[in-house]
Amino acid sequence: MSATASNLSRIIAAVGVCVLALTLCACGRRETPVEIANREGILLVSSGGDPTSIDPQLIETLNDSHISVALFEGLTVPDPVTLEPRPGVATSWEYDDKTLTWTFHLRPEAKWSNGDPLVAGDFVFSFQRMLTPELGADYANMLYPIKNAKAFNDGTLKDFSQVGVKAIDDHTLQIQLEHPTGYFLELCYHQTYLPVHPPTIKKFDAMARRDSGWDKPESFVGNGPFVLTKYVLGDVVEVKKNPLYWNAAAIRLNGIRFYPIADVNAEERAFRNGALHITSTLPPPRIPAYRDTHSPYLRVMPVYGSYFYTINTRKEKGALNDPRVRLALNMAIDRQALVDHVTRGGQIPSYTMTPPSAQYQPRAHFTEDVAAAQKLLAEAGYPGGKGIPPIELLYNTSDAHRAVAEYLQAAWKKNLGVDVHLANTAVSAWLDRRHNADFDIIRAGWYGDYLDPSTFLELFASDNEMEQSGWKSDKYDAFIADAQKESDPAKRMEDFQQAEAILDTDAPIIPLYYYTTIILIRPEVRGYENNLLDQHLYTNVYLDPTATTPEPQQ
Amino acid sequence: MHPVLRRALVRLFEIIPVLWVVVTLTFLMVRWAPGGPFDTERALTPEAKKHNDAYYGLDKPLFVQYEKYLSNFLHGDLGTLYRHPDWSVNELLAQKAPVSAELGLWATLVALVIGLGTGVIAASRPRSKRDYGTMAVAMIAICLPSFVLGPILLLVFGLKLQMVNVMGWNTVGDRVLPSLVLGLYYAAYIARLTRGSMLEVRAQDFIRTARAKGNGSVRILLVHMLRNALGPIIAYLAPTVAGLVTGSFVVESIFQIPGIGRMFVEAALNHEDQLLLGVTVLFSAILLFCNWLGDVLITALNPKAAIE
Repeated sequence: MSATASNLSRIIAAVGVCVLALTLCACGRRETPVEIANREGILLVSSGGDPTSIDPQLIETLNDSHISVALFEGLTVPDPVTLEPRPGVATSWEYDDKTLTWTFHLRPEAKWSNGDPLVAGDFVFSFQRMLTPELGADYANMLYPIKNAKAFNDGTLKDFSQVGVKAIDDHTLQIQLEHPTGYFLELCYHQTYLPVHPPTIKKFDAMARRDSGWDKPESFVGNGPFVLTKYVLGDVVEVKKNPLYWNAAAIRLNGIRFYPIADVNAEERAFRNGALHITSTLPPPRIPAYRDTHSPYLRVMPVYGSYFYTINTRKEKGALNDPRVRLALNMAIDRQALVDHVTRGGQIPSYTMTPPSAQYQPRAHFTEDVAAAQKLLAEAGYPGGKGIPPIELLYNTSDAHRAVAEYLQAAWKKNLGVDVHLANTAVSAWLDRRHNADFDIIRAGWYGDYLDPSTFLELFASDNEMEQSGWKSDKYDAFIADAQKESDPAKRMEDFQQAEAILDTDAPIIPLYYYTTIILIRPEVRGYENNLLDQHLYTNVYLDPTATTPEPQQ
Repeated sequence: MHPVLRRALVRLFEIIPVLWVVVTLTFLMVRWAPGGPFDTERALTPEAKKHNDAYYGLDKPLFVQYEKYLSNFLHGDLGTLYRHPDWSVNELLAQKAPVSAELGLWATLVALVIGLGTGVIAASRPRSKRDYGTMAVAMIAICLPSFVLGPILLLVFGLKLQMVNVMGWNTVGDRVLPSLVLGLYYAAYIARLTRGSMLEVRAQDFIRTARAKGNGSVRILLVHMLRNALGPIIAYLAPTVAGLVTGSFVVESIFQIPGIGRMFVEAALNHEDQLLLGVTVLFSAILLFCNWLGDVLITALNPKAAIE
């Protein structure tokens, strides 16, 4: 038996070896997707997850907007570096500060991707759709600076002609505002102000329907530099150059593929495998490896976002109801050490809610001082942390959030003698507990929607239900309301400084750092500039396969 | 009626109430889970939340929602996604299920070919170096989780040697590593099962008779001994195949394969209830069907079981 059986096993083994060898030979060192894409002029980007939608009026996240800027164009477009508004569909505009009215002059050559001319009425239609209550657009309140937009959106006003948007003729659009909005031209390039093609929306009965599916490649119509050619959830969103775009001659990319890679490690592997030009992020533990070797791929971009914790200041929370305790917690953290040793992504320690920008440099209102923090705590009646019941620090499950929470836990125990225990839940439960104010101190984060402090500071006005700290200040509300009405930019910024002073010393929040976006990007990608809103117009981007050194950044 | 056929029919009808229980329990669990699909980091205006809830019928009492879901379900409509409104569950299942099924079938093939092959090799000479060697390798394969094996293989073949793509499901080469990683664990299990079942009958009279009749050792090994291993393998394979063809979250995430397994877990995390329900029901249906098929096959192989 054994002789033949042994022959048999030899045959099986031989077949196995042959199959393996064949498979390996078939593969060999291959031409990478990036090499092929460089040849074809296609940019390969990770979008960090599936887009909520392609429909600009239903999208929600920053990642979604990275796709929408390729497919649609608003009245203005951002300057790739400074983010100042530049001509988009509108070539010029003027403002009448008596009537709070903007008049936009649209370029006559602007077209939809099916050849239809793009007219002022299309913007009126799009704003109406965005504000239609039954559509339930998450971001509809971005249009609230427009006169009567809020009333129409919450259903108290039924007649859209009362809303401050009018097409004077095919190439003139007039927008009347509710109050002077210093950043209105910047809003005009936000995804919520992008136009949609009225005949397509009507054909799909999508005016008030979220799930009409008009935005599939077969029926998609847009006005951006690219058009949609493939859209498969969990696989890829593919766009190609739109020959009917008014500035098509200037577009140097032939197409873009957005890969929805949600797993950060898989994303980094894909980059190293030559399957991506640009990643959406880099997992924190991997950052040192790239930084220490001076990798030509690593790029760290400061962005307009804050990472912070919200404190529940309601009475029943005892000690946390006392602003001295909250300020002490704020003062007893070494933020520089936190960003250097824990987050390690070049983040900037923050002592205010609002990150700095060209027009607004927030002033700090407290310093990190352990002795002073201990004194404050003693004054509040909790010397050495005695008498404070254990505080729960709640965050949504993630290694990065856990590391920060553990750092805070250790710092407060060591510096203040305050006991903190950590709790983590999945995102949906974390949001649920936040909305129901069922927490002591909860992790939070906020990215500005547009480049103005109001996008951060309005979160803490009494009528805003976002943060659920339970904190209210009439003085704070007054400064925020004042800033809304103020048309002098310098005075507006001063209002924000005053408001911020109240917020940061009354401390319903614990600011920790301003976000950075950390990505891997191949040197072949040119014209991909850093900016605070992490907005990149693909009109300026091109591929230079010969480039081997990273592009210098301004 | 033939007892095998009767048993097959009875077991088939048992699937219906089980499926109903699955639908009901899953429906209640996703509705009772904290949070809702429209709780987002950026709080929706109360109006928008109200309209969205109304649009998807989430403002109705639970029983009304359940009735509506069940009625749509019976008409083959599994609803649309809340957070990805461009897609219906039917559309996604039609798109993703074939990908996961293909991966699952390749993995099953890997499991069967390698598992049976090494099992037979080990059983051909029990308690030899060959036996211990193959079984040790099998033990390692069982212990090595796919989230370790997958990245290691990708590191070597994708990053160091640049031979394969680390993501996607487009070329033939894209099939090789995921199928191997997914199938290897089951191959090892099948190898041990095969060896064990074959050795059980090794000393029995009918093997000795077969040998006395002058049958070759290969024939004895493959016909007489392996046949005895088929029952346990089929019983093991039925639920395994069901699991394999409905997608693996780990393998699909590591290799970025647009299958159903990844969708399933993301749906659970993001409160994408309709999708979660749809996939759960599909998974249960396939599992029940595979179990039924396994049961029928075993009864056909051994009619004694039909009477027991």
